[in-house]
Amino acid sequence: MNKDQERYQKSFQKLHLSEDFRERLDARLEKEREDKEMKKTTFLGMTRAAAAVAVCTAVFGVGGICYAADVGGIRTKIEIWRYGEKSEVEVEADGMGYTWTDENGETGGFGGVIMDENGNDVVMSAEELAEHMNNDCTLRMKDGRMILYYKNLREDMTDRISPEGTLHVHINDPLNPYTYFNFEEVTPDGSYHCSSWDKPEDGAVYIELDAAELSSEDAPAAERPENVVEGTYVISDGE
Amino acid sequence: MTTELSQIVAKYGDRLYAAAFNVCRQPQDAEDAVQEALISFYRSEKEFESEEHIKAWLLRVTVNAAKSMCRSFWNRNRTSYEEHMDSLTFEDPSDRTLMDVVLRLPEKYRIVVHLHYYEGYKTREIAEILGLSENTVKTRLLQSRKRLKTELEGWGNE
Repeated sequence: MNKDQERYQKSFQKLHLSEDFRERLDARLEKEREDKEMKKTTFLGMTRAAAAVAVCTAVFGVGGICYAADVGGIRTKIEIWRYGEKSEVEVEADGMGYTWTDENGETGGFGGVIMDENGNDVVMSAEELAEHMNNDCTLRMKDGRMILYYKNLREDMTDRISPEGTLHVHINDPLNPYTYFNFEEVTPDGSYHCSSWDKPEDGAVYIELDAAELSSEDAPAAERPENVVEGTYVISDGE
Repeated sequence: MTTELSQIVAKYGDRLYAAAFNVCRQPQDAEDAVQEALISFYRSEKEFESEEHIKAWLLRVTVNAAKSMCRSFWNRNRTSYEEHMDSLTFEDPSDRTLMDVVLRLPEKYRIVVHLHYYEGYKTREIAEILGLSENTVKTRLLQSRKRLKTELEGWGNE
């Protein structure tokens, strides 16, 4: 190092980050992590909606989505909640997604990706998909009433949806971190958009439901709905 | 803050700040630039080959962030570098003079001077960090040396 460099360094070494720099950086990192978590949650919500559509489509037995049973691949059995009842289905990998077949021979397809900690898209395993589907909360139109389903819970929400088409529900379920469900754009024809969060939305009033208190005995028996609505999609029976 | 990022701040924080201040001549903007660089490091999935690689990458990101800060409208309404220098303690008045002379150089000269005299980089390395040709760096360094030699007693006598 020559003398000029020594002089220069001596002068500019007077410059230091302020004492609260680390504190501000920590705050920024915390926000960064929250944003990342929010993206992840929103993305999962989308995945669940897409998966739920596939389930409904299969209920109606639309021929177009029935997959060949002899497609090669690893088969596994998982349990999923459908219309308040648990069903065991056989799942088989099918490229980017999976096909499933229940004990009655009904089939359907589902799939999804999830962001890892580095922001990369990772194809979800059948078990992960099942877990996310099972943590989902859905609304279905049945006999002109809007029924909410969550695992084994069923609750008539028809008169609790705001005139603006919003519905906020919090379900006490220690097994699911995302139990604040915000339904928006709920319309009389039964379409809606839903997102799930780990904390309440500011200013929203939530209807509290307890997974332990509500049981299938309190709700109507599970029946195949005549007109099923999931996510932002509307699926009709063709009438 | 992660352990790795905390170590990066401890090791390179002031160094990055000095580079950013050289570009911005403004303490708040310089800290914002350093923060941007560290957040980029936190987000980055880049695999670094060495400590030297990390340092050069951080300096490049910091300098680019600092240049962006300088261009913002908000920058025009902030504390001047002279005011900030008044808040620093220089035991030797010539140290203050040196900083003042360097900070009065045009921006494109300042950062080349800083990377050479403070970081000890050679012209090729400075060219890589700043995305300039080596000849451009050499020319800017030569011009700066002439200016510093004129204004600083004993500069360039070796």
